[in-house]
Amino acid sequence: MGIDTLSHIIMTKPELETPFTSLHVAAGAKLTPFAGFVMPLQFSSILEEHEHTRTHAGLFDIGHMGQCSVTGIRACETLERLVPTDLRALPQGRMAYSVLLNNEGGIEDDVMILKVHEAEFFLIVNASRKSHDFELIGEQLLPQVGLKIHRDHTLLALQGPQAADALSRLTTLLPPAFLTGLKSEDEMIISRSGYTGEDGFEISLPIPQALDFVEELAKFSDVKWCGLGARDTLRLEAGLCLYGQDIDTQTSPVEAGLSFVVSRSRREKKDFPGHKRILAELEKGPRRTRVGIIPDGKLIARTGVEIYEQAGKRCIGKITSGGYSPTRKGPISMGYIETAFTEVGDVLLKIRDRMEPATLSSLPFVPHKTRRLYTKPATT
Amino acid sequence: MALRKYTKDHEWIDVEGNLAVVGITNFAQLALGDVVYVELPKVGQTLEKGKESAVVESVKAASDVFSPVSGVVTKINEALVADPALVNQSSEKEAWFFELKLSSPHELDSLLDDMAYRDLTSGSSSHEG
Repeated sequence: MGIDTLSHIIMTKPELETPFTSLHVAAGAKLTPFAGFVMPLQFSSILEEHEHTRTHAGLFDIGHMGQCSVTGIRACETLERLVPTDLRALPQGRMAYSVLLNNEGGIEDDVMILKVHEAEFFLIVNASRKSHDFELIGEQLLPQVGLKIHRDHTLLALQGPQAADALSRLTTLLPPAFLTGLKSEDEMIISRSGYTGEDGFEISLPIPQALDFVEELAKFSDVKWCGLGARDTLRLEAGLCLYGQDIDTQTSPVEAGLSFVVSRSRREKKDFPGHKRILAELEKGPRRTRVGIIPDGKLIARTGVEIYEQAGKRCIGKITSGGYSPTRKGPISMGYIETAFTEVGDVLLKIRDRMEPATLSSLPFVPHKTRRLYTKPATT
Repeated sequence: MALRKYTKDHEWIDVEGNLAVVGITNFAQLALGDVVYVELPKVGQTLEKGKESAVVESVKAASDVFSPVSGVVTKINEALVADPALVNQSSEKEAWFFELKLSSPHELDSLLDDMAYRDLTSGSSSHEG
């Protein structure tokens, strides 16, 4: 077998823990290093945890991620120097998925931004980018705007059809719909959002409170701890990007199929980093496009697999994320191909020197079940 | 009774006469995680010691199964095609991969016995905690 006998965690520097790491260790979770943290990969099995989240409620430790607040009268203006979304038009209590851009129109990170009120924004950023993101935001702070990094808070995700029911047993702070968020007096921030395509919540709380919270939640039989393995299979089924794999500093939101984060009003004002490239791509189309690709057979096409046109002569793109879909019981993947080829349905994938036929697919692979508010979205 | 030997790459082999049955060990299946697909050799296929004979796809990665010995495949385990999870459930018994007719029985001499394989895997964990 191609696996090594040494511990697969080679500690070159001490791995950071979350407030729940000792719980995970006690539960016998298989651990894995991720973004400088030691995180649970799986508790029982990735497939079981994935299925549980789609049918009941999965609890995820996402304490490795970054959380901060940007406050002040000019907080909105500050953030709009980095993101192409109309944050001004975002109503109080509403959340937006957005991206931090660089001057080349590439994505520095994808972020969730909650407008707590006009002068307070709460952000959740990726673990692998948080130091970088905080620096970027710090550089843009306008006079009297503060940046507070919530190092004393941790983050949990509760996802699945039973998530709302479980959460309602613990708190009355229940955001009413997808992409709404509420903040309590004792510093708990709950947003109805997630990385799975299911209804669910992301819960930020002070660490001491979090331990009690989790102890209470664990009493419910429909809530189960799930690891990063299931988190990845769930988000891939949901067609969601993973920063560093599906999007990076060279990828524009247009290429990534995230044009919706570039609000109409901002396109007209041309007032965000990389607007030249982004507006040109919006007008003429990007050179490459993110697509779903479903192998016709059973072999899984993973990150790095080359995509060929039907004749198998020319490489037209690459897989950026691929894996097994427990819901579809077969392989799924996402990648980028030359935009012209998005019209042609069939491609070939070079998997371990074999040319395997595959079909392009729209995203998501599994329909989202998020509970939307049926009002005109603020971000177009 | 069949004699079981092991490779340092976590394959097991049960030998009876000039026939042998090959599978992967419990250590291997734990390291792999959920198995979702197994690609077996074809009956009649010639295998070479130490070369790729089968592929196991788990949720996390694809892994090669190397043949412990050289020979010709006589039987394959269709149960694995229907239910790849069998590899996780019964790696050392029900989830055998293939049977082959040995072409060079002396190759068995260099394989590990039970004790040697246990020594190999006791110094490490396939999972933390």
